[in-house]
Amino acid sequence: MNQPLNKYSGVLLLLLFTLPFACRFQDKPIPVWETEVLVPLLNSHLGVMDIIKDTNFVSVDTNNVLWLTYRDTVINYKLSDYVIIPDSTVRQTYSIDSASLASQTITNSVSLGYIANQMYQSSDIFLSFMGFVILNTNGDSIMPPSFSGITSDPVPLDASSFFEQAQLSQGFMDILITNNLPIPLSNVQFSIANQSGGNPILLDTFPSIPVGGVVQSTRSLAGKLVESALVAQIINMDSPGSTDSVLNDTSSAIVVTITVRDLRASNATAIFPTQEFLHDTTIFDYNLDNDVKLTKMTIKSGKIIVTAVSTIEEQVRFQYIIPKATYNNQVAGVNSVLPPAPIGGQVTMVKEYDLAGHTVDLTVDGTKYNQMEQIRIASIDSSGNMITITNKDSVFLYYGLVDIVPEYVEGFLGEAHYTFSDSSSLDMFKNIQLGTIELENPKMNFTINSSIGINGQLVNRGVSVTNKKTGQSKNLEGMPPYFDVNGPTLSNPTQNVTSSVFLDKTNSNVVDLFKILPDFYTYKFDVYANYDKDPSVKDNFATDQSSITGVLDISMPFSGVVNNITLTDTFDFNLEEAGSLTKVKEGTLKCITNNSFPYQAKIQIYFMDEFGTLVDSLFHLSESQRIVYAGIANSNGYVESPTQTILNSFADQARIQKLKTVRKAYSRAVLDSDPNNLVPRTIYSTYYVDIKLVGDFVYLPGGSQP
Amino acid sequence: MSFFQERHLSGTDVQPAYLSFLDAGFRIGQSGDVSYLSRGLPADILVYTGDTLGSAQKSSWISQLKSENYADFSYNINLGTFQFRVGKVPFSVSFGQRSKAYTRFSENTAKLILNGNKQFAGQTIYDSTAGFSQFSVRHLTIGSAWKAGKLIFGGKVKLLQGSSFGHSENLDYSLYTQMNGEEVTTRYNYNLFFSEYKNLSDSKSYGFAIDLGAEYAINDKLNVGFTLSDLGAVKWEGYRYKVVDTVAYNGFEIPSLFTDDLDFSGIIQSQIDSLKDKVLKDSVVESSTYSLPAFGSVYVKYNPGANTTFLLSCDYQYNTTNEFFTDGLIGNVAINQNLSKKLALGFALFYGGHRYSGFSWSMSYTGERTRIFVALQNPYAMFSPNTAYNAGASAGWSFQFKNL
Repeated sequence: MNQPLNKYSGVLLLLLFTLPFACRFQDKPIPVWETEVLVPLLNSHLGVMDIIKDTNFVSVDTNNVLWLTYRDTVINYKLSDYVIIPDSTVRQTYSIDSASLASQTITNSVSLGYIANQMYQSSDIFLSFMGFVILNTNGDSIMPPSFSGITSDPVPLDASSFFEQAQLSQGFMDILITNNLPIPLSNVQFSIANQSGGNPILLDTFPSIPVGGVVQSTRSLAGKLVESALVAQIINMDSPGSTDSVLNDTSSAIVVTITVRDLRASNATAIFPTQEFLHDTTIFDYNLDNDVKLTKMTIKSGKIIVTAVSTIEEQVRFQYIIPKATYNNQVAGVNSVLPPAPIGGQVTMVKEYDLAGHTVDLTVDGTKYNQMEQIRIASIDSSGNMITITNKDSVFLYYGLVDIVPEYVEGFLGEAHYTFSDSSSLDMFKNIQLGTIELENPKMNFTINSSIGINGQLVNRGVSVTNKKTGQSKNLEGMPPYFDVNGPTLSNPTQNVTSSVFLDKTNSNVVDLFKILPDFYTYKFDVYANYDKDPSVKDNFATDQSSITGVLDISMPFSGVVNNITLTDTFDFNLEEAGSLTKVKEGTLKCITNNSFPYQAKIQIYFMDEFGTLVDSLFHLSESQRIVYAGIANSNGYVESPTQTILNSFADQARIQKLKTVRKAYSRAVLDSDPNNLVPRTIYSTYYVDIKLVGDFVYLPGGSQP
Repeated sequence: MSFFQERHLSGTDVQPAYLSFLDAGFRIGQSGDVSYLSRGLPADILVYTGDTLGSAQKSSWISQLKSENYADFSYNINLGTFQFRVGKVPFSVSFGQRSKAYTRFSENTAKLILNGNKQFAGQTIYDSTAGFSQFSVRHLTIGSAWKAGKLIFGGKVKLLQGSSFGHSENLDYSLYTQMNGEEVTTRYNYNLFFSEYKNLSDSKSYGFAIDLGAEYAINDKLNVGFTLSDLGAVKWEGYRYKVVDTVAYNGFEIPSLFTDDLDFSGIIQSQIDSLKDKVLKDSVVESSTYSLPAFGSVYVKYNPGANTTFLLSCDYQYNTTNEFFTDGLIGNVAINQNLSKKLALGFALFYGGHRYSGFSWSMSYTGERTRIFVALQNPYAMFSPNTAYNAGASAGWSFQFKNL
């Protein structure tokens, strides 16, 4: 609104609402004169809802009868409260100790002619002669004499196509010698060494090798450093000769077959073959709280995670499979392929697999539970290239199931014990300071709804109510000490099973309980899941929507005998802020009430100054003189029209001055049933009390104050 | 005759100044007049100085109320007047302020104001003729006159600057107070234009007006003439409010006396604001042009001797803006007698119906260079039972520096 009219708005307001105006001529003093003003000051319509105020606690039935209602959820128990699936992650590091080299076989021969030539060049005259004879009688029958000390020159063995060098941590060398010579051999000493020198890798002696005989020897290569350039040598060879003539064939030979196998190198520069360094099937045993034993689980949300880190210069594969976790017949698993690591560096790969919707069979052999089978396969793919692997190279794996939230579980859900206890305010009567209401028919209903496939027992440890203003307390009587709480069965898993206890005045002390107008209540319930159940029967189940809820309902028609019920309120009150009212010289404050409640009320308003000191009260009347009379009920107990009461309060000039110091007001209404007809009265939603405050004032308009 | 009396109260000096200053020479002067006209409200309201109105005084006032009452207060001050001649043409320049306020109300409204609404509990009162109008303007006037044989002709141009304006084109209400005072019902209907007070440097409301007059000497003893004054208007920058509503008021509504944290003061303040909005709603900012209350007069002057002048005039107050200001025909019969060469005395009777009737007397002194004029209008009732209070005064002085 535009400011400029304020000059006239004041005039209009005064004119319109009987507040006089004063003509302002020049700077003359504005005269003050007395006028008698009859003006409504305040009005308040208090319906039933206004008095009860918190409509959360009130309902109205079809007959307009007011009901007090209260609901509190005292038990709330759902799947996530008792089945918590922990993460199943594992960290493992695999070093090169687990890497293998390919097996290899090398064959070499020492012919009779080679041996005869060695004999011929011997300084031993006999051996030299014998060598001469053998070399010159090839194809003839001879009787070879005995000989000893025959050696061979070193024969090179080339393994460069397999590796350059390998420090073996494990491995074997098999030596197979076949004697195709026409003479038996004895005391054959054989060695294999790196061509670069050093101790022989292998030094073996065969005491006797008959004609056509085969001898074999196996030696460990663990701890040996093997190079690609090797030499093999017969260090000594003896023969007893032959007493029978035999065909001299100088091409006949001793055949030496050398096989290296099962090689594992801690450091190697080699062509590594494709090889698995991990392949197993293991069980992850979920250790679940509350002794929960699950046979089956459908996952609502969760995932497999795999993190792989490799320093190997070959491609590395890791497969992690949960073979019993399926969704649409597809098995859950992760296949990670890491590319070759750069020389001196590493590669990392992170992979996830969404398990939502997967069902996991958690049984093994039908006797074990909470068991999750998992297959792990890790391998190196061969590129055919010569690479170096040292014992510092490794593959790091971090894998498992994380953040698993089940959607459905089945099994044995444990024998947990839960306690539900609380102390809560009961706000139904919070505005009532004192007094009693003898309510006719309060009712309490304790209802437990269960959609969890589990049975249990609820033990009532006690329910009590308190009126903190009066200090009165009452224990609830009539509620059974314990009762069974049943859930649905596997045959009807979506069923919501309800168990309830109903209490009213016929089976409990609820009338006495609410007579004290409680504003506080406490309860304690113990719930024993699978109470008295055989753990081997695993037919419990639950979905993520399943719950067990215990709801306490209190309801009562507002019908009874009211005695000394006191309603109070404190509010700011500043007559000076009310503007023109400060110009009241004296007058009568008329409190006009129209009351349809079947209760009478003794009302008073106390006034306090800014320091909280009592300054005055609205009515200077005795309690019996300031009664707002009750509505008169008809034969059906219904008040059809309100009863009007007018209470007057005169304020002279001194009192008006005193009231101007008021800053707070405290209202108080004390309700009673009609003392002449003390019968329970029902409260209907149509009841109300209209309170109007009318000022019958001598008013002093103008610029000056009296 | 006093040159500065431009529109007199008594009728004894009907000739306007711009017709009479032809021979005035170079003069300076000041003048002013004030008048109060009412019906129902006695003039002592104007002079009442007590802080507290006694019940006897209040009863006296109430007893004089009529069914319809009004009050009309005006003043006109020329702070400075300069009269001079350029060649043979005389000029007059003056600067001043003038104001006029009028209010009209019923007897019940006055009783309501003075005695409160309790006296009307259980009955409906109404006032369908209520209204008010007020304007205040500053003026800068330039006037001149010519004489051609037996004819004198003159005129003035007034540049006007508005300082404040308030005007109701419609204002009526009814009021019903329930017997116990539980409810007060009021129906109100008003159409207001309002321009708040602006000083000389702030005002954007401007206008102009002209005065015209002529007098013809039929012979040495008989003159006839006419005057027309305030033919003009001011364009006001202001606000217009049009509201018609009915309000049943039954006190400030408190949601619940038992509501926690009741903000009593806040609730009341919000309802006061709401009420104000309702009363003052529909305002628009606009410019409106309002005419000044024009005045016309024709007269005959007869001078049987050198020292006596009789005057018969018929005045007409014309208001193009509204009905409020006094309008209609007013007849004057006056005599002006020179008691000596320097002193003159005037007396007049005038009649314009019950709203403007009475008598006045005036006296002037004309010295060598100095002139002083005073006039008083009857301060008490006449022509009962519909007599209005009709009081006024006019005064001025001038000094002639040089006879041109």
